[in-house]
Amino acid sequence: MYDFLSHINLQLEQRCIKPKLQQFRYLSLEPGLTRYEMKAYNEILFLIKPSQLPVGTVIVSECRSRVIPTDVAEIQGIEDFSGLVTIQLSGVPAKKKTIEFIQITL
Amino acid sequence: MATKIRYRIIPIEVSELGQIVEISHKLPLHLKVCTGFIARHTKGLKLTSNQNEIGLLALEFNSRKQLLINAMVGYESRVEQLPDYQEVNIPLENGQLLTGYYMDTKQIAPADFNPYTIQVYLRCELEVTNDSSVCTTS
Repeated sequence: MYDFLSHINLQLEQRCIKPKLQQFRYLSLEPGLTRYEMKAYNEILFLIKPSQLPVGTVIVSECRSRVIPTDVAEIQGIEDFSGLVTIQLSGVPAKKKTIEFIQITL
Repeated sequence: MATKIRYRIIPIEVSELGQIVEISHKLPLHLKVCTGFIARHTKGLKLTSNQNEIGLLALEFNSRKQLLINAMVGYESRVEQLPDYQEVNIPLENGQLLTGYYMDTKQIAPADFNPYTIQVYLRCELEVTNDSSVCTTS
């Protein structure tokens, strides 16, 4: 299993970022809602399980933008987002679901 | 100290509506500071009117150490005057990656869409002439 915590720590070190806080942050997806906004100003949010999101979901942030690909289950890499993060689901979730991020406060 | 200006052109090919194009471009070792940029549509679209926005550009310098450019890219149906460079003052670390993305924001009607090219022009200098500090484009 890929050690994403080591990856995050290494990446922060390479980018000369000394975090003030590292913790989990959750986003609840509600049935019927397809668009979400998360404020991550002066923060970095690592999406650690992108396969939780439906294929075709678009995530846009100030530094990175991503469409969840069809083979997301085979991808082990994690990506980070910051600033105003918008998540546009490709479909309406049938039941409540929680999406997990690692939040780095700068 | 004399400065020598060098320009880097980064082409971005967009082939479908809503596409996100990742940018990963290694800047040469000898560039020391980026002093300006322009991002504009150069070929592909043939719209009858101007569009304030066709896409969104984000650029990070120095291998993701600094997010410094977030800009809308528009479309001009008739180019009468080339735009001026937007001023920035970004010290560059030797040979580091310029990364980011361009996202087509689906402002073009599907019937008018053609694959198109955006060019990002970076104006860089070989030597730092004054005390340069990181600034944003806002």
